[in-house]
Amino acid sequence: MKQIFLLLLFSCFLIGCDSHKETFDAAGTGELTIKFNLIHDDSSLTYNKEYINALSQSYTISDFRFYLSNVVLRDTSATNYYKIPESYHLIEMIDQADTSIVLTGLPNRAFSELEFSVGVDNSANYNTDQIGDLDPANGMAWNWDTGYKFMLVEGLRLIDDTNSKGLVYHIGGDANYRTVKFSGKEIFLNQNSKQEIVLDVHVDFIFGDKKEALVPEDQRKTNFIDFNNDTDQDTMFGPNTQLIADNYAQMFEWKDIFSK
Amino acid sequence: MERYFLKIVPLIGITIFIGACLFSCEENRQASVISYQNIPAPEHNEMDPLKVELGRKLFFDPHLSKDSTVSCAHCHQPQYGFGENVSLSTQGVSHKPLLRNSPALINIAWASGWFWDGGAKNIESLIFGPLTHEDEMGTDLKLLISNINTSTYYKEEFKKAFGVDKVYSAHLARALAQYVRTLISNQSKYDSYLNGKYQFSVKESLGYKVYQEKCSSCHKEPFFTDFEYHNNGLDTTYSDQHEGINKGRGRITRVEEDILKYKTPTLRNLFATVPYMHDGRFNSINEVLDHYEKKIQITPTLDSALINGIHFEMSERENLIAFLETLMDSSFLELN
Repeated sequence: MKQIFLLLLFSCFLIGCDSHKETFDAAGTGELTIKFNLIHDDSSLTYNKEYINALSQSYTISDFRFYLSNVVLRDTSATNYYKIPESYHLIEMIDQADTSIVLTGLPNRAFSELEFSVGVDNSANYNTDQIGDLDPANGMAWNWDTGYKFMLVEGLRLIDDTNSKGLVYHIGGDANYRTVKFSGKEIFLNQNSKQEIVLDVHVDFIFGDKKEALVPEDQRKTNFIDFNNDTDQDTMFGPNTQLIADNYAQMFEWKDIFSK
Repeated sequence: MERYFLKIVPLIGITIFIGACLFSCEENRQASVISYQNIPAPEHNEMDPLKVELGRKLFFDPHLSKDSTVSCAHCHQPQYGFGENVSLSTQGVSHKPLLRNSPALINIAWASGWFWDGGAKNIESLIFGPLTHEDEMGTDLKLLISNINTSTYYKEEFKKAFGVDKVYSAHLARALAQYVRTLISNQSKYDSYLNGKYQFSVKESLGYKVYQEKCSSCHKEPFFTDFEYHNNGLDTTYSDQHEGINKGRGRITRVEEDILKYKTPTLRNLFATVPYMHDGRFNSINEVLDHYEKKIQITPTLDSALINGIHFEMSERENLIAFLETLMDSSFLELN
């Protein structure tokens, strides 16, 4: 009887160990700035400038916004982590093509991995009476189908010299939530408590990376989006929008980290 | 043997007593389910009389709209069961006809999805719909919230209700959600009947049977709706236009099986909530019954209970209507 009990206790311990990952929930003085350079065709995104997508269709962008959420930092063992609480950040281009978020009160530790998601996780996506970046006054909430637009791209599709049509992509829905990770990095919040990470955001990748035009379709990292597919199903949450979501998961490029 | 008997008698007694209790509790339960005490509310917005009162003031205040002319109550009028007496409202700031009938707000706290297609997952989130829709109240949330924060009156009111110095759109939505959750109709003759305080007339009683036999599978007691979505054979076509608005529930779940389905409306206060259906196409209860009797459109998602239509003898109609009259609740229709 005692043996069985011990065995049971031991197996509980084993199961416990297996699922246990240490979280660094103690607040510290670490501060991390993440700067986003919004890039199109390798130069700063410019509103209302004529661009061409990977399928040679012309367009302009006049509004670009997305939610970046649930920032997590992991240490070199990749098992210990710190999850930034209430981490929902509306990234938008207002006056200039770069924008930053500042995360404070981080544990004073060395981290090697930065993780974040594009979109809003379903625990926050099903209620829009929220304060902060998720406030529906920011224009990123759907009212007829409760939830947030994860990414908003608006502009014009230039059909020929005289004809144009609205270009409206409001991508959302649980299936379009994407997580991005940068591993093998040195984010030392123990020694240099203030660090800045610079990320390039290749906005053009949302419709496909033109540099992959000569790559066979099945070997491309991005999907080439045809603007002619413009029903609500193609531009909000239908199956085609998951191709766009796969694209925006590819648009981030780690450029630099430095101490401030 | 005697000792055994002594044990068994109290045991049986207790069983009968508990059984009787449960039975009577069960009987009362149905009537009392619809009460202020039982209002289901989310944890982050629990019912509070101060918030309800603030919500009531906001509900009737036209200043919430873009041009200060339209309040929630314009399309949700108490005397029409907090609905409207037209098919498609033109009372919004643009005066363009809306695409669906203003739904009555009767015991909506107990629903599980809001709007005709259940697109709103909770009442707090729903509030932003009519408030900001360009053909409804057309408000710019940022502007409205900034106006509220500069209004001494509302700043004070929100401070009292929520204890906040700065008002956000979330507070506005929560106060309004609390108020509409209190729009409870539970004082009809039918409710008195459930409480044993009213006896149905012969006609009403026969009508109750007709209702139970032919209507109750969707219009379930005591809410007289199952709060579910059904295709009741109104249309055969739909499109992607206006975010697929005439796909009904299907535009929300995005599955074929839900195309052309709409939420079952309650039968409570039925005669105050005319016209009927999600687009207000029927102007009388007889038109509705005619539809169920001989105009059902067969499509793949049609509710199986309606495949052969529902037939009503002339006398059955009369009795049914007499019963439906017992669902009228004058104290509710006089609320404001």
